[in-house]
Amino acid sequence: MNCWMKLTAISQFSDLRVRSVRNIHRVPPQWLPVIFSFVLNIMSDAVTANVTVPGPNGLHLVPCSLIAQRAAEFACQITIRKGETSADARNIFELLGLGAGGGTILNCEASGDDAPSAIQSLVVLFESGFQGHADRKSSEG
Amino acid sequence: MKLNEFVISEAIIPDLEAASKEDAIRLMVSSLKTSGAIPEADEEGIISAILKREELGSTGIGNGVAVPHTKHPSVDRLVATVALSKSGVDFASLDGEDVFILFLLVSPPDRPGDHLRGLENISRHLRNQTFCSFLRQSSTRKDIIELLDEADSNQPV
Repeated sequence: MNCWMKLTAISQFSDLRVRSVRNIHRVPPQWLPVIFSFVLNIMSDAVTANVTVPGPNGLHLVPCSLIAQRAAEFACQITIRKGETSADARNIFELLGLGAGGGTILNCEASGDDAPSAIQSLVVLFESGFQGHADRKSSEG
Repeated sequence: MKLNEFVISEAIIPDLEAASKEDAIRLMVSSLKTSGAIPEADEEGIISAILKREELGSTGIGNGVAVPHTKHPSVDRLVATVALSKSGVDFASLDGEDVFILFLLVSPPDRPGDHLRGLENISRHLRNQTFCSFLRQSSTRKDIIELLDEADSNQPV
């Protein structure tokens, strides 16, 4: 979510939030974590996207190298998650450690100034099937 | 998948003396052949395939580690060997540093999942600095086997 979208969201919800704070005692306690996490999400710098690992070979060495190289072009911190396991997108060892086979859905999250561009670039890389980057490499592992 | 399911103990080289990347690959594949893990007739074919793969981009992935590998129809399961170089091998690694720990993998072309799980397992251990440090200090095949077994027993099931 970029800054403009966040500001819009905040302005839309600000009145509601003020009234919510006044009436906080009326909110069922079980809703508080949900509300808290929603507000945190709105305020957070994180940008996320889900990507699907292409091809039958999964995230083997070549795709992992390409992801790490691409991530290194950006200043923001990028984390790629498979379920509970997460990897720093610049770290080939951690990316390989995801053991993500073809068809696996991964969550990419970036935080920092260039986070939207970084996530967009990674999504394009995954959607290209890592082709055009290493046509032959991607089948060689 | 555990290391001892695909690392061929008899093929481990604790004191690799290789002057070049090709030298290192030749010695490791030869060791796999001697242990009976790959057919003698396919030794040259496997070496060529691994060298061809290296031309596409070095498998020296940093931290003093290289993972040369290929898929080859001469094997019906993933097989691997480990070699340690005390003086380091110029592998044209991504970080420009010499490599001291080498894992060489040969997997059947029709089982990409095994190849991926092997890489996953190796990389999970190799990102642990303590494991790398102990591995580099190992001087005998027995030390390396014990360390791999210990790593296997500590990994989550």
